[in-house]
Amino acid sequence: MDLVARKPWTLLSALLLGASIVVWILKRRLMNLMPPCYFHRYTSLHCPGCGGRRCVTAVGEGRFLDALHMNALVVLLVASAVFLLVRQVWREWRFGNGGMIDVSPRGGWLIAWGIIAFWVLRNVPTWPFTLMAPY
Amino acid sequence: MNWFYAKNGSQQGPVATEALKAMLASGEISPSDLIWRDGMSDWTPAGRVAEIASVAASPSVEAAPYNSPAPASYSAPTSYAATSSYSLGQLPPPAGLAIASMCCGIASIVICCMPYFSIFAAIAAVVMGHISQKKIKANLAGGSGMKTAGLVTGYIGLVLAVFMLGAMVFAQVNPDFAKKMEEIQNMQKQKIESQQR
Repeated sequence: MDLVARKPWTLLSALLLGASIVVWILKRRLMNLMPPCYFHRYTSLHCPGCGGRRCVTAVGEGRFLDALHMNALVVLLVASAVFLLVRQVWREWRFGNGGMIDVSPRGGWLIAWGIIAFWVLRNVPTWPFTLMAPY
Repeated sequence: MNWFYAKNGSQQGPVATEALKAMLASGEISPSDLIWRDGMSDWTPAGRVAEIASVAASPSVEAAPYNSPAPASYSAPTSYAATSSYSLGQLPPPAGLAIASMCCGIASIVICCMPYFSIFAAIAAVVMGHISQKKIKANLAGGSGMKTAGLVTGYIGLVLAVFMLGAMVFAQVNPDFAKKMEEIQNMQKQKIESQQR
């Protein structure tokens, strides 16, 4: 229990890794549970998460360009999360604590606007914005 | 003993005990600068850590960093760890709620096709975002950038989730709509499967 308290980032990373493995194994079955995207149906536009599942599948098969095409945002988010977790775990073992994570207010607005921009721009039907829309 | 200290909003070190004492004595570190070593439960102002502070005799140790008068100007943050509410040389206090709010908010947008999950994430993001906003205003917690991201994405996710759930309810009430939904679902499944072959 002391390990849990003193190395929370390692614990979190281990749990996420385990969950990812389970999802990977149960991939086919989980796909059948997916509902259609109502946003796409009503508006025929892409929501920010559109293509996310196809994106993850593509990454799993090593087709990184396809993954970016499907949903660049998801790729970016997952990459950032992995980077952050690795850094925190490294810090935990090297220095004894993970250190603070913080994002400046400007960074916070950048994240929020970035997601909104991605949502709007990927629906613009001209190249190069169509590169962000899944096929 | 390896000590870490906070300078200009970022974590520095490690340095040895004697070196840290010398920095305190020379004024390179002030008694209100936060320091930490393995075994301490949290970052603490140097002036309050017995092993180090025997050097600092000045009575200005009384000032608690979290109660210091809030700076009037918003300093444009340049480093990853800087926030606007704290003067240079101090680390922001823990921002757990803000981080959680941001994660839930982003998740609620990305999982918007599964509104049964995303609505909980969105609500969580909004609630935690508002609570952490109160704490940040009271100078008890940091992470205002993340709180903003959490609130904005949480509200967007909430709108999306409500929209989706509304459509699902409509499908129940209107059977033609439900049929169309099934057709689309099958088409999408076929598309995905053909891509995977």
